[in-house]
Amino acid sequence: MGNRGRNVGLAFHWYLQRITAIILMIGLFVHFYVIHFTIDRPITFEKVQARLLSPGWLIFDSILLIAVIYHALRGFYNVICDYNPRESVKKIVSWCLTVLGIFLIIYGIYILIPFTQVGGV
Amino acid sequence: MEKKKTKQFKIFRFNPKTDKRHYFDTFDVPYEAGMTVLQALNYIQRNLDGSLAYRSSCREGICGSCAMHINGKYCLACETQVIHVKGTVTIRPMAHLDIIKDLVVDMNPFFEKLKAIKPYLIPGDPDEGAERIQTQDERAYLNTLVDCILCGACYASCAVNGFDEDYLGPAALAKVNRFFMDSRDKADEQRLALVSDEHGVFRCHTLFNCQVVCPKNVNPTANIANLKRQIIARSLTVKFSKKGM
Repeated sequence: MGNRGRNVGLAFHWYLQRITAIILMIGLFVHFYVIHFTIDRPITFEKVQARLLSPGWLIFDSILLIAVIYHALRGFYNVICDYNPRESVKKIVSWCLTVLGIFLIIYGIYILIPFTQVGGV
Repeated sequence: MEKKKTKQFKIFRFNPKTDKRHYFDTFDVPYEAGMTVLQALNYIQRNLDGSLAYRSSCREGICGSCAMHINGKYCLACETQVIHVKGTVTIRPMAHLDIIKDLVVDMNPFFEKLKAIKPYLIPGDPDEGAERIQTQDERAYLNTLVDCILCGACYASCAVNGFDEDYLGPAALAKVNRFFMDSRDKADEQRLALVSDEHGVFRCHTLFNCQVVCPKNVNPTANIANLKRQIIARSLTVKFSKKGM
């Protein structure tokens, strides 16, 4: 039995994963509904751009992007922890996933930028 | 005279001192309505194979000694009627604990974890020899929580205990909540700190296995959920009522 003590970070991440789960449940439903039922086929750059020119949709998609990436990577980290690896392995995995997460968020926002500029890039 | 019906029992056998691997022995046991699995085990040991090892004591669901895996579910052998078990009765020992012999497992890790969470009242202020008053409502709230008989069925059924040997387990965590919810206990922070690390409440995957198998309906899952809620609330410096469970 190891030493036991309060781990505020763990509680915070646990809580944040529940919050992002709620965001995903609502956000993904809205996303699928809008993409599949409100835009006439075929979906074109212009049609998506028309939606994303609204700041509300841009904020919605950005929040959804961050929530998806955080929830997925934290879930993956939890799966790794379930196998009870050494502390050093956990630290390496944690850092790698943090870097990957930051990269994916920046890359996701970078992809959204062309949609926000009238006339495209 | 009518001949008694017989039931087939398939029992896990393993002696770490002599056997390289486990095997199952099959016995035919005569039974009638009202006979429990524990009585059947007694019959086997006394009449068919005296070397069969298992634990039992009270025979009435109070001591928690005879918890075992019977046809896919962890339960007390003394509370399981043979007539209610369909087909062959397959009995295995409890999981996640080393086998001493046959159905007898080493319960030390289970009790070590229980000891680690300080399973006793910590009143905080010096004892002045006076009673620690508790209202009927406050006591009534603990009614189910104090029913745990430490049989270990929840511990064996919990998948998390299988891969994290430091995980406290449902019984110990439920016990933390039992004292946390006790109005006389004043060690809230100490108790929450004990269970808020990565081998504590946040390792729980909320599988509900412990809730399903508990012979006393203690519902460890709900107890663990309450501890999680309390830790989060205090991390956010929000004061939740202890009765928010």
